[in-house]
Amino acid sequence: MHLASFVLDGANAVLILMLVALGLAIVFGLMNVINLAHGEFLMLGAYVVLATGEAGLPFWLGLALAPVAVGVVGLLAEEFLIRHTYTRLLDTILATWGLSLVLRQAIVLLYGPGSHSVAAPDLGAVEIAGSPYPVYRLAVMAISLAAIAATFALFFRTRFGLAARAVIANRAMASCIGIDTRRLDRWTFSLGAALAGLAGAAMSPLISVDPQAGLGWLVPAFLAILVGGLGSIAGPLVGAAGVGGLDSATAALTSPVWAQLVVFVAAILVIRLRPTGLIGRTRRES
Amino acid sequence: MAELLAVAGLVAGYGGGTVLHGLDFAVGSGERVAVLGRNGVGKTTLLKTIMGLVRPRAGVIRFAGAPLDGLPPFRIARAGIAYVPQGREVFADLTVEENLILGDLRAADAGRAYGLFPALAERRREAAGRLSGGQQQQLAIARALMARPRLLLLDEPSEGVQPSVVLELAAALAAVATAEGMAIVLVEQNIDLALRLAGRAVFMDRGRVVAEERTDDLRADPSRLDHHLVL
Amino acid sequence: MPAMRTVDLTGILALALFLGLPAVSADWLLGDLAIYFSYALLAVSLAFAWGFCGLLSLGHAVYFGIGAYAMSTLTLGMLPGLEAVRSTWLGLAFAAAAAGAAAWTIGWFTFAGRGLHGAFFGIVTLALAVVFERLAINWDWLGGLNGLMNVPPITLGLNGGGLDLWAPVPLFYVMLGALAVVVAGLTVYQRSDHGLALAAIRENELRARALGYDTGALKRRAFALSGAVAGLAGALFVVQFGFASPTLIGFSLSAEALIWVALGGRGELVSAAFGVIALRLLESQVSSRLEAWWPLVVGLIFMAVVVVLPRGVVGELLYRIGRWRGR
Repeated sequence: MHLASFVLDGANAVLILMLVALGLAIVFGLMNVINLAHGEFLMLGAYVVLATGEAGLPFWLGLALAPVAVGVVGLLAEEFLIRHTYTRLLDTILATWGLSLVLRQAIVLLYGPGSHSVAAPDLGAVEIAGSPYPVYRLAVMAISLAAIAATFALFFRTRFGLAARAVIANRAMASCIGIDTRRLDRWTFSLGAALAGLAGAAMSPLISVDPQAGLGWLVPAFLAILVGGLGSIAGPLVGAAGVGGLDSATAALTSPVWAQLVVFVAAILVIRLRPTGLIGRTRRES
Repeated sequence: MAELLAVAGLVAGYGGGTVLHGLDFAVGSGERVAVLGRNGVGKTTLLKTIMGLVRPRAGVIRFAGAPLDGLPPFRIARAGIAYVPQGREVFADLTVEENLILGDLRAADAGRAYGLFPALAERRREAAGRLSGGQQQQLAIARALMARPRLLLLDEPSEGVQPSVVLELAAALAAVATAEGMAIVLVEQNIDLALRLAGRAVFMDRGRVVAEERTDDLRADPSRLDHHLVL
Repeated sequence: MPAMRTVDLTGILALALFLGLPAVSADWLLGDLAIYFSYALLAVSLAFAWGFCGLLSLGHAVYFGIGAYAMSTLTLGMLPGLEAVRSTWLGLAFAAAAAGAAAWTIGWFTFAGRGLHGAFFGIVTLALAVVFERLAINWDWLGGLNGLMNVPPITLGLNGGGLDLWAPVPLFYVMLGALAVVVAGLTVYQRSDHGLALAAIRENELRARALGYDTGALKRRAFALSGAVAGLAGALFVVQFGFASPTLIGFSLSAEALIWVALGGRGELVSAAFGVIALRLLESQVSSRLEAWWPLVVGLIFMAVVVVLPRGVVGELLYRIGRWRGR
């Protein structure tokens, strides 16, 4: 009974979920695009680490390369797919959903449908509350925190972020004052993909690296956004904390199967009672 | 006076309907034109179509000789047209300073705006949504002016603003326009403001320009106003 | 007398064609087609929910699977207190009711008040599919990963007795009949006042609400109807296939259903039905050669169709013919 390691593992999962949900929420907030391929971006990140590992390159290189590579995939997807379905919102969802299928199948063709494992870098373990805890897991938390903080800094301390926040608030007006919404779309989508890729890469030694890995994160990430609410950057984080925390706690007390059910029921109850989410605000639809 | 903005045969509308039915309109460089007419004749639609928010179905819009139709709003803004919509549409959750910087992202700071509207400087860190109607109007106009536009489109700037503030705004706008050679197109219900600021007035009815008068003439003989507006 | 709509004409012609088919084709083809007809029912239910009502259900196989499991548990005598009941008819009713109830419940959660943004509704349905599939895999009573086997075929008697339907030709006609009746029934519903209200909601929900429609209730009812049809499809599938497994309730089948309807055409029930039948026939011919590349190819075609042919392949064809005919 290692309470400390259980809490830390839960915190780990929550932070990663925050990272994934953040990328998803930014893309939705800015572009009104629900990216159903977001989970696959996470999966791709994990596979990048697998690939670099098989090529004999060090783990940290794979970790650094993943967000860049997945970001490029996101850029291409935005340019060749998303951009053409803009005016038809539901079709954008379908298009990203098709993209997720294609990405999954491409990986199956390259690596087969089974699961692989990635070895974590051996950083040893640290004594926490009397039991050893792998340093790598602490590193994952640090990476997640750093990425979330960096994203906040980008949004609240840079001109790019200011322009992005303007577009999120009122797309039409932002365009009228000269903000190049198309360029912003491209880079935002790419950023969202990169965040997911980073999350996948960081998590790769801790999960089963298989083509279905993405789906297991997509649904919780979306539930997190729904529960937390849109309209503010904090919403997805709050939602991720709720969803991730409940999931970890229930899984530890009962089983992962029950946890998934409980989280789902709890999420749709919250949505039923508060359709704009826990800290949601109504957004201006453009 | 060179023609800065030339609109010919403009047809535009929303969804299935048509609001502008072949509209012709021109603004000279540095000129100030008021667009008057009853509610629903298409004044706002005209501004939105020039700004690229509404796609024209027919007709041409040329700005400084180059065609504008079909371009997205940000390209039109970058060509030198600024738009202050009805209701101002400031970014409520962003601060005054952030709103202003957005007007010109390459500017080092919002000094230009504070020079034109000193009252804004006092509230630079306040959320724009907390300002009064008049202050928000100042903010919206200042934001538009940050980019040094050659043409400013204003949609009912006096709405929800105290009369005294309206006068101040008019004076500030006139000063900037004269100093920088900026043209203005003003859609207004407040006839007084329109006559004060503009040199020429066009009257719209059912999606077309139906009459035109010099504002000097209108001030001299107000009955001509009623004549145009009632018809 | 006004000319018939292209869609209706096509449906009737297709029906006539299929009615005559057993005279000229082999039993194995009839058997395959009978299964495809149950998939077609699923596609039709999704096209109704999505194309007609604007409710994008990303996890629609849930209702198919619920119908399949409902039918199986009833006719296998697994339901406590109902062990003696073996009626196919009751099974079908139970399947439709259970699936419809599940759909209605999801609607109750997500259409309340201002309702969820369409995409988020899709996510909830997807999450449901993921959750239910996992439940089915882990629930021993439902057979776990292996599912329930030896599900009895259709019996025409009131309670299990009577004729067993497992021969290809009668089964083919029964499935064709079911498909035709459902498509006809839903089409009539779509053109009724209720249907027009739903179409109005699809076009502009805010405006429909402003006009006084209780959009939440209408959407719930429509989604429940869609779920019930999908449940019926699942039940009719399982009596042919003989066993119900978690794959019938989960993500993969839901994904396939979306592909069928997107490729066939979501705008008309007939397009969706054609889409799945054609795709399945194509797949049975081609997939052995393409093997692992087939899902990728289908995915790419799907993406292309979404971008370029939003009406779907069959739907686009019907649209053009319709324009040419003037109806």
